[in-house]
Amino acid sequence: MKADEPILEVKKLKIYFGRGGFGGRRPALRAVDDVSLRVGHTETVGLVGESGCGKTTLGRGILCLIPPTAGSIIFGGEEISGFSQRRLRSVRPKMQMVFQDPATALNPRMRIIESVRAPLKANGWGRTRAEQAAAEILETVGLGAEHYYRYPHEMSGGQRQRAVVARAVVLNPQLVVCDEPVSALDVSIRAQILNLMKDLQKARGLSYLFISHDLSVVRYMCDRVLVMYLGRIVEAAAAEELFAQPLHPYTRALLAAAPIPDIDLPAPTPPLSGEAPSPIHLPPGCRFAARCPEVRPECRLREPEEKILPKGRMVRCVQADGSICAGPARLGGIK
Amino acid sequence: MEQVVAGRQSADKTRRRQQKASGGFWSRYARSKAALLGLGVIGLEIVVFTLGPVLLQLDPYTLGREFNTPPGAGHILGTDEFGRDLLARLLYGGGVSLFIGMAATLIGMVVGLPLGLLAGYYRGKTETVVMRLADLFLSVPEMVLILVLVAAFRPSVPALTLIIGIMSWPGAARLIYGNTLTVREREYIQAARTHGLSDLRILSGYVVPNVVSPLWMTMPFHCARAILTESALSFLGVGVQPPQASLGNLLYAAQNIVVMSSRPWMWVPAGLCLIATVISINFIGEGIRQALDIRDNLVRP
Repeated sequence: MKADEPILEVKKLKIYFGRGGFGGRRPALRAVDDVSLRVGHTETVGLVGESGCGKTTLGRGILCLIPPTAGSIIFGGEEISGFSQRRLRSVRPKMQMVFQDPATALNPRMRIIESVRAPLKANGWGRTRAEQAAAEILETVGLGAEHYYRYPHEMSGGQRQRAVVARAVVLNPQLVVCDEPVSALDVSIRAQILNLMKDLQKARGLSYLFISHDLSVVRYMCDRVLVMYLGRIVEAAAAEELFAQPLHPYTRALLAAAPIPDIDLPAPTPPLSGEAPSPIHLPPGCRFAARCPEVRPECRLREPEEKILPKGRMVRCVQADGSICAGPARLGGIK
Repeated sequence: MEQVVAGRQSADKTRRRQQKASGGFWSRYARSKAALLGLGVIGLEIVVFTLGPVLLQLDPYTLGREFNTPPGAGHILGTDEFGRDLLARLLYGGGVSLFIGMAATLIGMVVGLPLGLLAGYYRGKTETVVMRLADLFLSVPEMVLILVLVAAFRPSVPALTLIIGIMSWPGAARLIYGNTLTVREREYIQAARTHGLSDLRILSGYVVPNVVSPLWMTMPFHCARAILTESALSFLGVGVQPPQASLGNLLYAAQNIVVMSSRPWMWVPAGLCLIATVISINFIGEGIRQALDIRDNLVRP
C-alpha cells in the first residue's frame, strides 16, 4: 500500500431500503445515493447534515454492517463491499466504531473490562493478555482500576463513552467511524471526549470519519468536511475553507442556523423552513430545490452534476461555477 | 507494567466489594420471604414425593380390604373405594403432576427459545414461518386440541407431557422474539459485529443474556399452568389414567356427589396439595423476577 493512498475510498455507494415489498412494486428508500468519499491516513473527515439525511446509514454501510445496494468500498487497498461475512471478519478489526448513545453501546450484562476485552478475545487473544491490554487502554482513556468491574449502569454517560472509545481503539484499528460521539453527552463532558479522541489519533495514527450535526464540534475536530443532504454529498471542502466560504446554499443555511451564544443578538430567523422531501419519492431536479432560498427554474428540471473546484473542493449546485464566487459566509456562532 | 498489576489487584478488591454490596442472584432472591417459602415448599414436595413412598413402604396400587375408610391409624389419609392407601396415591400423584409440569415447561422452552431467537435475529423468511406457526398454535383452543390428540393417541404420562409442552412453545417463542427484536437494534450488537464475532457468538454472548431473563420468570408460571392443565384433563378422565395416580385424577373422585359431600378425605388433600404447589411455583416466579432485575438492586460504592 502506497503512503499517499487513502485508507478508505468509497465510490458511488448506494444503500436503498425496502426494495420489493409485495410483488416488488414498492419504491425503495434511498438512504445513501451515489456517495463517493476518501479518508486519508490520520485524517479526520467530518460528515454533517440534518437528521435523516443518511449520515448514520453511510457510516454503518462503510463498516459493512448494512449491505450496500451498489458501489464499492475500498479499505486499505482492498475492495471489501463484496466480501462474505466470513471474509469480512478478517478486515473488521481494522475498522471500528464509536456510537452515539453510550447507554446502549455497551452490553448491559458485561462488566466494563469484559466489554473492552471482548474485541481482543474475538480475535484470538488469550484471556490474560487481553485483560492486560484492556486494562492498559482503560487507563489511557482515564478509567482507573475502580471502574473495571462495574456494569455500564453504574457509570456516568461520560465514563461510558470513554469505555466505548477504549473498546473501539483496543484493536489498534486504522479507521474509526464516530457516529455523533458526543451529542448524547453533557456539554461539559464533550470537550474531554473530543480531546481524548484527538490524543488517541495522534498516539495511534487513527483516521476518523466523524459524523455529526454539531458544526462547532466538526470545526474543532475535522480536517475536511462533507455536507450531506438527502443521501447525497452536496459539498466537500477543507474545514477552514468550508466554514470561511460555503458554496452550496444548504451549507450556508446550516452555518447560519448554528446558534450564537450571545443574548444581545436577536434570534436569527431560520433560513430554512419545512422538512426535507421524502427519500422514497424524490422530486426531479435538485434535491434541495424545494427549500433552497436561491432556487432558479432550471434547478427543478435536472439534478446538478458534481463540480470539481480547485483545492479539492466539490459542490453540487448550478450556481457555483468554476471560480469561487459566492458571497461571504453568513457565519453563525461558529468561531 | 507494575501499574497494571497493581491496578488489577485493587480492581479485584473493588470487584469483591461490589459483589458483596449488590449481592449475587441468590442473596437477591432470598430477600423475598414468599419466594423462599415457595422454594421451600417445592423442595420439600420433591423430596417427599420421591423418597416418601420408599421410606414409608407405601404402594399406591395395592388393593386392600378396607374400602372408603376415613383417615385413621392404619391409613393416615384413609382409603379409596378400592381400598388403596390414599397417602401413597397422594405422594405418587403429586410426583407425577410435578414431573409433568416441569418437563412440559422445559420442552416448551427448549423449543420456543431457539425459534424465537432465530425469528427475531434473522427476521425475513425465518420470522414469517416461525411466527405464523406460533399464531396457528395460539389460534387453536388448547384444551380442544389436547383432547383430540389424547383421543388419537393413548393418554400416558410421556404423551401428556409432550403434548402440554409442545402447546406452550409459542408463549416462550413470542416472548423471546419480541425481546430479540429490540435487542438486535441496540448498538452493542452492532459493536459486536464490528469486532468480527460470528453470529453464533453474538447470539450466545450478547443477545441471549439480554433476552432470557423474562423467560426465567415466566417459566414457573408456565409450570403452574401445565400442572393445572394436567389436573383438568385428569379430572375430565382423559389425562393420567388410573390406576396410575396424579393430583388431577385424585380429584376425579369429587365428581361423585356422595364422595364430594361425605368422604372429603378422598379429594381434599389432593386439592390442597395442588393449590399449595401452584401458589409456591408462582412465588418462585415472582422471586426470580425480582432477583433478575439488577437495576432494582443498584448499589453504588
